[in-house]
Amino acid sequence: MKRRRSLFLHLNHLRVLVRKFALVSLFLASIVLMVLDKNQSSVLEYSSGVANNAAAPVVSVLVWPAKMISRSYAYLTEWVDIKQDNEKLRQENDELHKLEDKYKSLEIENKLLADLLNYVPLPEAKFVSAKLMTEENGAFAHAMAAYVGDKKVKKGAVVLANNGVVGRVDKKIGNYAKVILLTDISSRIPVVVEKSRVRGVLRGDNTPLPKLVFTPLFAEINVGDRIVTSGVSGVFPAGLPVGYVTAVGKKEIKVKPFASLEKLEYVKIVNYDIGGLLDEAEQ
Amino acid sequence: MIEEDWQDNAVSLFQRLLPVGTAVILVLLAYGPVYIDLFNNIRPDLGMIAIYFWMLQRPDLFDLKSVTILGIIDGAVSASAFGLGLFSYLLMYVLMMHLRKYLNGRSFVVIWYGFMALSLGVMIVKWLAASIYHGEFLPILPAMFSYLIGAAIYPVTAMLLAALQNWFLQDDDEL
Repeated sequence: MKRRRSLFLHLNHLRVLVRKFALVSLFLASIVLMVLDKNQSSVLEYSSGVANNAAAPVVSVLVWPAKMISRSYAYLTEWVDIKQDNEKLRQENDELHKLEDKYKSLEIENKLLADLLNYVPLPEAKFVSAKLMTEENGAFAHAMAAYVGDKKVKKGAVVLANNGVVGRVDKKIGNYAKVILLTDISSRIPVVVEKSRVRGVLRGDNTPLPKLVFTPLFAEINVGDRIVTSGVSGVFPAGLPVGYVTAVGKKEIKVKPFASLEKLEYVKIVNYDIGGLLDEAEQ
Repeated sequence: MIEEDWQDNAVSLFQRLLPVGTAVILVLLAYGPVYIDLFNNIRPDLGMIAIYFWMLQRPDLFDLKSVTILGIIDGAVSASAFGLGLFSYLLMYVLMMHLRKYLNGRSFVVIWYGFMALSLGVMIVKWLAASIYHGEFLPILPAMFSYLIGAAIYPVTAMLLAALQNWFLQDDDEL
């Protein structure tokens, strides 16, 4: 009887030890997973893709009520301003008509000059329109998953909204493409100030306003200047609209993206097929 | 008779899975697009609320396995470092393991303050871990605002979870 009791106590002690060990090993596992993630482990990428495939439709259903409320609110607020918007749109339309005439004549001139210089145009871009399924705009990452189905999407492909660059494709597994937004801390986009042609790198910092870094010390950069992609490094083609400068300080220059990252529903994933650092890295 | 057994088993399984199921739903909800400017950079950690609530109310139905599942799901869906979510959830689990006894049976306000204190600690450690991962300090303000929003919506979320608990987990003494 005494022996059995002692055995029971030993077993109980062992069970407590195993439980404690499990906790410690899980903590260690979480740290190991972070290290593996830093080194872009293919197993983690695959499992993350599988989980995204499973989670995205569930999330889409779960957020449906919130989406409806938010859309109804937006509809009502837009309804209030409809008269002013209408007037604004009329003015814009008049201006666009004038610009259209100018654009047509410039297009003809451009074609003539290109022929004269024997200019080789860039290959035509292929694109996929994708619906946003999940998004992560928090303190620790800025990303989203977009449904692309069985369409081919390359790592590093440019992701655009109707008015500017949104980010780049990080990976595509299954039917979803994981997109790293340009506000994410791991995002680096070579850009140029459109007016002064000053080059720099747009660096995300997990805030809504990414920073413009690696610019010359006395560069001519002003609030309101448009920022476009520079095409350096070959990941992004040159000339895509990115954002505009909102603040020029001694320590940092802040840029507001043209694309409303908080209101994305559909995005365009464009494969320019220009080759570059990502292709080299993949090889 | 067999049909009754099957029904009992199904009900029992549902009751066992309810805490972890609701926690998974809350974790996934945090990744839903909501098209509201305010949430562009500030998302509350709903999974943390679920862990705190269930570990306080039903620790028998919410154990280390549940926390691990939750952490892995969060890590897989999130674009931040895989393992960061698991790390923070495990931290909350350890804190709750040791501090649960001081919070049990206290008034709602004390429990709320408890959540505010513990989630603040976990958020700071998570922020430090993320900063180490990226090799630079992440901006602290978005993390702080996420924490504040999480603390502010704790009562509503806890109320919903408590309602679920009252509806479905009242007659589960045999679990």
